[in-house]
Formats: sequence, structure tokens, C-alpha cells
Amino acid sequence: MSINHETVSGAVDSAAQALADELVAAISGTARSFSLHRKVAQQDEPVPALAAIRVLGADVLSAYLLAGHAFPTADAELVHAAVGAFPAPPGTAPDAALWALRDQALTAALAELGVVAAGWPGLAGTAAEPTEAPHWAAWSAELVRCSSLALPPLASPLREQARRRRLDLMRGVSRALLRRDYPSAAKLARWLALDERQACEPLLAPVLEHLEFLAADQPRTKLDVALARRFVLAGAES
Amino acid sequence: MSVLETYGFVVPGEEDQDAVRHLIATGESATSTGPGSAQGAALLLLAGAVLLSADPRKDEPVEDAYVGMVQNLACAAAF
Repeated sequence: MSINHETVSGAVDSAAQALADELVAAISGTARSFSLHRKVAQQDEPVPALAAIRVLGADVLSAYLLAGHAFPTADAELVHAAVGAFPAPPGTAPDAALWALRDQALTAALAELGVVAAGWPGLAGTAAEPTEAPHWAAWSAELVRCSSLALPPLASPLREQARRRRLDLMRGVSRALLRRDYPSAAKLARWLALDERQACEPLLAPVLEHLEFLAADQPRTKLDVALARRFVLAGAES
Repeated sequence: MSVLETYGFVVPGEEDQDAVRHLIATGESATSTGPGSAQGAALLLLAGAVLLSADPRKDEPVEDAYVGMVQNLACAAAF
């Protein structure tokens, strides 16, 4: 399923933006500690908070995977509850393949943190191999939707494609910037940064600076930029 | 009481379920005001026409005039 809209209004979007803001602080090192269940416990309404976890997918684990924050059992249980509360659509739904890819990433990220998620109710079934769009514009639009798969410990066919099609990826970033679609530009820059050490992209640094300035009021975009920065930094250190 | 016991029985409404599915499926923006957009292209044409009608300096290639601004606009339009 492909929906072309900026955001939906309402509590779920606000909760996702708020959680993204917390993650930016945790990843950038400005927050001393990060705990998902403590953040949720502070909310009056648990439903939007759980929904936000589902919307951000594997990204909610980025603070633990990349910034060294401890991953308590309570946080794993919270992710479990969010998956149960917001189950994947049935396999016949038009967005089933997208959910399957995202849930595969979530399961793999949890496994990296020592949590076995297989069998959790609400997780999508196994994903079929995604078809690779030959045209760069259609292909990069697909990468935008699957940005939560762009995390260093996670391997995927999309990551292989992103490693191989650097020029197409850069075309996608340029197009998104020219359209002033900063959320998409940040998600594609994140893919570009993921394996930057193997395929250096000189335009990545100015793109990230540009996005930091232009998307200062968009927490989810800031999260993608913060993650991209983190990938570049980790690549330079290793 | 564990976190799973606390939140395991939360039942979201259909509206919340739809909002999550919508946010997950959201791809690139449908609207654009950048130079690559329809609105942007109109502005570019206008800006180009204004620059060309301003008569660049004698013997100077038009694309180099005005500190290369015409070139920049042409590149932006090409995208």
C-alpha cells in the first residue's frame, strides 16, 4: 500500500513525534539515560504511546543498539505489548509486505539485544523477497517507506540494493531535497549513511547539515538525521 | 505487576489502528513547493524570463550572467 501524505493528524502522530524527539536526545548523547517504559508511564494515555512504538518500529531500539543504553526487560515487554495491541494486517492486505519487512527488522533488532520475539502475537508473517524497482524514483520511494530497516546490525535485500545503487540513492536524495520533502530526504540520507564507509559519498555531509537546519521542528526527520550521523561516526571509528 | 500485564490488555480503537497503518504506509510527500514541482517550475520560468529580459552585459554568455544564477536555475529545472 502506498499513501502519499505528509502525516495524519491526531494523538498517534504527536506521540510518534514525541518519542522520536526522546530518541534523538538518547542517540545524540544529550540525554543521560533512556527508558521506553518510563517514557510511556509518564503519558496519560497508553494507546498513543504504544502506537508510537509500532509506528517507529525497529527505530525505538536504536538508542540501545547504537548509543549503549541498557535494555531492561520492562522495555522489551513494552514492545511486546505494542506489537500485540497493534497487530500486523492480514497477509492479503495491500500493506502486508511492508509490515512483514518492518517486523522482520524489529525481530532481528530484538535478537541483537538478546530478546527472542518469534511467536509474539501481532507480528507479521515472513516477508517475501521484495521486487526491486528498476527506475530510481520508484525504488527510492520504496526505501523511504522501509527506512526502519536501515540500522547497522540488520542485513536485508534492501540494504544490498542500497549498497549497489549509490547513484540512484543520491538521485533520490536530490529529488526529495528539491521537492522540499525533508522527511523523505532524511530517510534516504540514512540509507546512504548506512554503508558510507564502503562507498564514500561526498555530498552526504552537506545534505545532513542542510536537513538539520531545515527540519529542526520535525522530530521524526531529526531522528533519521541523528541516526545517519551516528552511522557515519561509527563507520569512521571502526 | 509487569509492564506486559499493565499494557497487554490495551485495546486501541479502530481510529488508532488506522492511524498507525497510515503512518507506516506514508511514503514521500505528495505535494512539493520546491523547484522540481509544478509550482516551482512556474516560478523558475518567471525568474528566468526576468533575468533574460534584464539584458546581460555585452559579450557575456547568457548562462554565465548574474554570477551563474541562470545556470543554477537551469540545473534546478532539469531535476
